Amino acid sequence: MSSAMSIALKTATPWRSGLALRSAYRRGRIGAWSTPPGHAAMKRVLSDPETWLDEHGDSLYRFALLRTGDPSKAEDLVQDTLIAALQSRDRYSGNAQERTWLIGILKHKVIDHLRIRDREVATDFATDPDVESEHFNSRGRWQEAVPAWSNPDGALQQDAFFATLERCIDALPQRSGEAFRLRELHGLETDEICAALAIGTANNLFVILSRARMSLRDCLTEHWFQAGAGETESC
Amino acid sequence: MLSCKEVSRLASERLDRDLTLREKVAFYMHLMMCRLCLRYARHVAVLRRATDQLRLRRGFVADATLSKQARERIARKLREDLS
Repeated sequence: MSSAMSIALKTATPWRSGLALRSAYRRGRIGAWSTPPGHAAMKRVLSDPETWLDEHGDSLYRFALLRTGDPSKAEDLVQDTLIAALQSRDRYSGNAQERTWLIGILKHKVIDHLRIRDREVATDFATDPDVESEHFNSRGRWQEAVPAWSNPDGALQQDAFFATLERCIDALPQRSGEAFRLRELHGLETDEICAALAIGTANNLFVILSRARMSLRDCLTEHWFQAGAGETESC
Repeated sequence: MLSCKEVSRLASERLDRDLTLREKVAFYMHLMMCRLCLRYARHVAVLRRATDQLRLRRGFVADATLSKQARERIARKLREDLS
């Protein structure tokens, strides 16, 4: 059985809880391809492969673009996915919606792509400077007061703030920057990131992301938020 | 009793996974008593809002569609494969 099919089978598992689903909607992590829960039981049949491109092409493309950030690579991945689907359509189990099935195959291809890309720039997380030890003493207490941010809501209205944010993200150590981007800008779930970056355990990823956020907080404090200074709204 | 370092981790991890009830209770108890951690947790939440907006601003996904050329190329390839 091909690996694409095993992924397709995995995506046939029941939907997440309503709450998680709602929050995923809110976070923009679910796109046009998703189908609300509640359509189970009945076995489905695939439509004519001739219609796949018209029916699902754009959804697949958006999914790939979101995760690779590379339009031409995303096009290639859509093509690879449809061809793989064509070749394995006899083994479609009928449990998943057609689009979900296609997305499952695509997801697998995206992860392969990211894995190859990242192998080329492999560096070890162990070399990341440990931002936590700069901030906490041996008993785990803050060494220095956490500086306040003045008017963060105002910052989120300004183009210049986002330019600063992007510079700060670019300044993260390479692999933790990659993990952070995949999580927050490309919207991958944590298990997908672990697979794509060959991170052994979810807990390792949580530590990496936590340190990335701490570094970003420091960077934004230094380059954007000058605490206090007569501002009214600070947090 | 959680240390500030552990609380800073949870402030981040709550964005990546569901905390257990025990973790939530310990986390919020700590925030009630610790001004610095409360501030840090708010900053991490602001950061999440900021990256959400950054993603929208870049907007390179929401309306993206396959270009005509790409669509034709893929259609051709699929027809070859079908026959």
